[in-house]
Amino acid sequence: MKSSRKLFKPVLLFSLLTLFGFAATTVVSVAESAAADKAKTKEAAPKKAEKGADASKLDPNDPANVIYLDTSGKPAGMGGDATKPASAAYKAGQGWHPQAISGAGLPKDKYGLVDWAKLVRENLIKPKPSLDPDEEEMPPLQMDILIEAKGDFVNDVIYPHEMHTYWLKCEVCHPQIFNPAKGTNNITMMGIVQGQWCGRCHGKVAFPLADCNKCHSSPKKAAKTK
Amino acid sequence: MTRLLAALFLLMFAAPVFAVDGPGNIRLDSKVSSMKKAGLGPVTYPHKLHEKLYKCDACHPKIFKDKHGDNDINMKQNMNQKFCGSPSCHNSDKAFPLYMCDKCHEVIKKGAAKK
Repeated sequence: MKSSRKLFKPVLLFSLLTLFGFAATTVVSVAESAAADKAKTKEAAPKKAEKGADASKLDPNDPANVIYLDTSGKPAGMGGDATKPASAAYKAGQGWHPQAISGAGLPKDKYGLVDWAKLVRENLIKPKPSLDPDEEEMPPLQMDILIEAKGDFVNDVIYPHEMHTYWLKCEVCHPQIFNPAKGTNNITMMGIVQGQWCGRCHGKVAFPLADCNKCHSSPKKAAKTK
Repeated sequence: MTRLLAALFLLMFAAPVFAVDGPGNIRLDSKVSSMKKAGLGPVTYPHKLHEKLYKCDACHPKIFKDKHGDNDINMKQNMNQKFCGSPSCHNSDKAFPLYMCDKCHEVIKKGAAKK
């Protein structure tokens, strides 16, 4: 057993070194993969910049080239920016051509989207009601509908007929999208996001759903919350 | 000398204690009764996924308190730019928006509960 006691020191040393070696290799491999990721994105960025430079022999400010540009003003078909996650709301908000937006001087809301309600309220635009000059315009219907949010916390929605009937006639929504009887439409947020109910227009031809509180404006009565 | 080596040996096992390893998936279900009314289930928050994108002080403690149960989150707060809906997070172009319910919530099939 004396021999085993003699072995003790070197065994201890060896095991220490092995453990240290494992630790070192893990650290190195983590550092390597982190560096590799950095290197990859650095490589990707200059490549994309090069591509962009080549393609913009197309001058985006030349009005004749509008047809070649996508909705964010870059030459179409050149690919997006892979280093940034683009949210759906951001993409939807970029849906109008930047030249048209800045040229028209339309007011914007805090998400950078055109504030159509402000336009209507302040009479900033005067659209013709019909292509037929003799047709009489129906005045907007002034009727606010309270749509209660199903959860306990989220504010209720006040649906303003006036803002919508300024643009649309009754038959656009009634009865095929909304049944004109209170309590008969089981509206859910999931459904709206999937393109039913309000989502038939909002997110497609009307402003997207980015600003929650734009619709969810009426706080629940204090008794219900908490 | 041997004692020193032995002490070092033991210390190698103590080292992992100091490694900062965030929590795994956090289940957010304190408001489940309200969620069910809207047809949704509880949220499973992937902490590891966010760890890869941000450092700890990006969120702690200015947006979320560190301790489990210290943050009273509900959807209205998110919509009012608190917690998950902070202005540089899921209420901005840096991440997907708040109206994509099924990205966070489990979905209860068979439609929403009747009011």
